[in-house]
Amino acid sequence: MASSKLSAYFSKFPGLKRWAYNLSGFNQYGLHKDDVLNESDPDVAEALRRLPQHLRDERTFRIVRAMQLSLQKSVLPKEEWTKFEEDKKYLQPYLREVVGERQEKEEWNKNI
Amino acid sequence: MASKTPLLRAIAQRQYAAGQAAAKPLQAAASQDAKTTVLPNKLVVASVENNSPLSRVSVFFRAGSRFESSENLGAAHFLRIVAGLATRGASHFAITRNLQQLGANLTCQVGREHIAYTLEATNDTIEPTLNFLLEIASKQAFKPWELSDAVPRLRYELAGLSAPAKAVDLLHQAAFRSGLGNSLYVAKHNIGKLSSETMQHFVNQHFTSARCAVVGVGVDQELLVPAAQSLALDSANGPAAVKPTFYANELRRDIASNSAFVAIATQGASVSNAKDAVTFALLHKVAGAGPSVKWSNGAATSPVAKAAAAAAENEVIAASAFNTSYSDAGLFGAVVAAPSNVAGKAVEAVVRSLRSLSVSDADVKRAKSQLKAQLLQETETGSGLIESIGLEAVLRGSVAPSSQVLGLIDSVSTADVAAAAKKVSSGKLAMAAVGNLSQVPYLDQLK
Repeated sequence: MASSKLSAYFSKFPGLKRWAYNLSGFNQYGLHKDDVLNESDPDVAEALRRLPQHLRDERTFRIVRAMQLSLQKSVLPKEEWTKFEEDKKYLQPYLREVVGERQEKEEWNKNI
Repeated sequence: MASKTPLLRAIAQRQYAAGQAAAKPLQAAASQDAKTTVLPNKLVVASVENNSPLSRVSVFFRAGSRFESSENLGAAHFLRIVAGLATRGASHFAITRNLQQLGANLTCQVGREHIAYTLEATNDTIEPTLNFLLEIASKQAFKPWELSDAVPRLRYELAGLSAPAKAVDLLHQAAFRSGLGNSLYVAKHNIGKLSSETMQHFVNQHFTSARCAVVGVGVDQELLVPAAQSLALDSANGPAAVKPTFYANELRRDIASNSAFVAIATQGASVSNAKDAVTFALLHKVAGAGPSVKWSNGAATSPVAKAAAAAAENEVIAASAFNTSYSDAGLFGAVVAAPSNVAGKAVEAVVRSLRSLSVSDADVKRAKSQLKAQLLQETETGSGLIESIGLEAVLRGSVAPSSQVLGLIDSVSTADVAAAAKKVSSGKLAMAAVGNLSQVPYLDQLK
């Protein structure tokens, strides 16, 4: 994917990641990046199915809290916003495995 | 087109004995005796090169249901259910497709004392598939979601268990309680308890090189030994088997049925004394090990079947003697399958016949021919042969040549078999019954 070259380019500007993270605003609701992934994506859905129960419970709590805040048209106090460094990418290992399995299947099913 | 992904290249590229000849003369070997090597880490490697076009390799572990503890009851059964799922080096999909591509078959078999992973392939594809077998047998990943996805398959298998199988299973539980008495099957209430950590712990404890045997049929010993050496196993001895005690107990399970399935037994012989084990096997044939003529009830040559048929009058009934020997205990008795209204009389008649088995020279002669024929027929097929040498290798550490076993059968005298019959006539009974038990007597009502 072209993102590897793009990622290499943007890695020269470390502050840019943090700026983009804070700009997207989900951290103000106390959410992590993996909480806001598109759940209807089949890979994400399968990775979420494989999450162990305690991670699933924490994620559910964060999402419910965020929905309550959104309903009340407010956000968390600034001290409780998720910090860029503390953002836990808990779903990535499972997601990587799911994507790897799908790619393996597609390789096997190729006709060429 | 096998192994296209980098994930598997490391596995698939390992080649053993690269100089194996491309074309082997396909004549059956003169001897079916196994060549055995014991590696320094106590792993036993045995093979029979019978030049068969189909090669089989099995990895046996001394890790059957008797080694389960109260925390992991059913682990052996569940291990069999999840055999072939993701390992540390390959996903389940990759294993399946690669084995299919190579035309290989993977099966897993579990007994009270062993578990065996068997791979069969044509003799030119057995080399690349060996890697998969070793991975599957020793490097299971036990991914939690794969284990829970396997539960419906487990439930389906439990639902399909036949009542006689349940009766014999219950008999072991009645006679031995724990250890050998552990059920071969997961209890329904334990299904959720078998987590990834539990399974991994069971494997770590019992899948050690001292408890392992790698056996092959239709493969060269020179192919198997390096493969067995590459098995990265712990070399601990693992937990010892608890010496079983025989309890004269009964277990009954009422289920909705028109029939009753009853299994009764006294103490039999263990394999540790080979002559005793053979004597009881002969007694089994004398008492009646099932009909020799298809669809008959065997009453002509089997005292047990005859007694049951007489008690059942016009009803259809099946009864045969039952004998099983483990490494340190055994059971000898009978299994009866009867309609519920005549089950009581049938069970009493069968027990009376077991208690009064007459052993004549003609009976023993017939039993010897039948036993020899059964042994030779069972080891005639590749799958039978590999199971036989695998069990010997993993439970005894060596494989006896068939001439030795046949000689042992010949050496048993009528007096020995009569002595065994005397033990059966005076031994205490254990009993298990499954089905409609309204007429089935309790143990204290049987003499």
